[in-house]
Amino acid sequence: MLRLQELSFAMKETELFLDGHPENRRALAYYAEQKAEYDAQKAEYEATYAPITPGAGENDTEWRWVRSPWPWEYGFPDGGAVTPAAVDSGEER
Amino acid sequence: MYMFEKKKNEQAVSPETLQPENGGGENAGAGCACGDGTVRESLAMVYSPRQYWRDAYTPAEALDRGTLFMELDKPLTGVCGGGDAS
Amino acid sequence: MWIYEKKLQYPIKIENPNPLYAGIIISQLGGPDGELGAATRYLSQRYSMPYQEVVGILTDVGTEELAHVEMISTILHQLTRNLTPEQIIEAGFDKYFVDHTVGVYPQAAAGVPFDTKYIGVKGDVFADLTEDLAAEQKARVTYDNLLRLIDDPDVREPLKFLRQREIVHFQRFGDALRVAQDRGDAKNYYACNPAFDKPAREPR
Repeated sequence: MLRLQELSFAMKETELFLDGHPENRRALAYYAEQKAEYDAQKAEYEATYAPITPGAGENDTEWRWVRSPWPWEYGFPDGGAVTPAAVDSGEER
Repeated sequence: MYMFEKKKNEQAVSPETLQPENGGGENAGAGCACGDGTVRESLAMVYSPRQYWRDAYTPAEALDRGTLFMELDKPLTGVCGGGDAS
Repeated sequence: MWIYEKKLQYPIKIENPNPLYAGIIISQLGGPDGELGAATRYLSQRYSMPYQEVVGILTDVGTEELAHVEMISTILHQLTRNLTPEQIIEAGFDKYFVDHTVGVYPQAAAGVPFDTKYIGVKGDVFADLTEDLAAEQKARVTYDNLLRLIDDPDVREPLKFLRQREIVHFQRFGDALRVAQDRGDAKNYYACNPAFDKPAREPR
């Protein structure tokens, strides 16, 4: 998850730069590089842990989107395992 | 400072400020949309220095600092007049 | 339209609840210079902007501000975990608690609910971009003030990140201003409003 956050942040910074400098070759190349790695890491994360967007990964027997912790829960950064009880696992009460 | 991107017909400008084409005199600051891609200052307007793409932090450093770009990294020190210009 | 990704822009894990901190950080959610105002302002201004690059900057910064709404809300949520009635009263969090329990309600630290009056959408390229530059500075100052008052590193680190984002956004709106200036008439930028007035000769 941290690696995803790092890569998507680098992409976000580059997107904002490119909005104002749409023909900057170095920025375009950098963006393509980061995006390729992000897409690969994201696919791996989603297969192993939890979907980042609804419906990502395999949802043959269960809708995984509602079976993993939400980003604001204490303990989220580790991703959390995808189990039916996972919705409670990140939270202390 | 270096410019990594210089488009055709674009006036070379110092990133810190846009200098008027003519050094001074009555028309200094009057500005001109001169059709050759150059931009000069006029009164009653504010101008922002252009950022050029330089080598960036790594993504891990960038997330930690809050920006990919060293030249935009400007932390709060709480002390006026000290600290290095970055 | 919007895609939502189930991740925070920056990791947040706050070990020690602190409702006093929550009571001041909440201004960055629902206060005059907070993230919800920023998101609403930029995403609203974009519709009348005539230049693609400027629309891009407003859309993409505005979307990032929604991610910041989520981050501030996360901080508030984690700071108000497992509270005892004594902690609530001692921190002066009782007045908020009575109306909102530990729900996340967009308001300012002083208790004023979020208000669209905090934002400007003037429908003029230079007026809107100038407002945006000012907005980023005010947001930065608000983070400065929070950082002066808060010691907990778990809380400081995401706030420092968010503060730095304001500075970067200030430069981005500077970029947008440059694009608008390039398209305008430097002899008189104010002769017309490109968001409304027609050019002298329409292209065929």
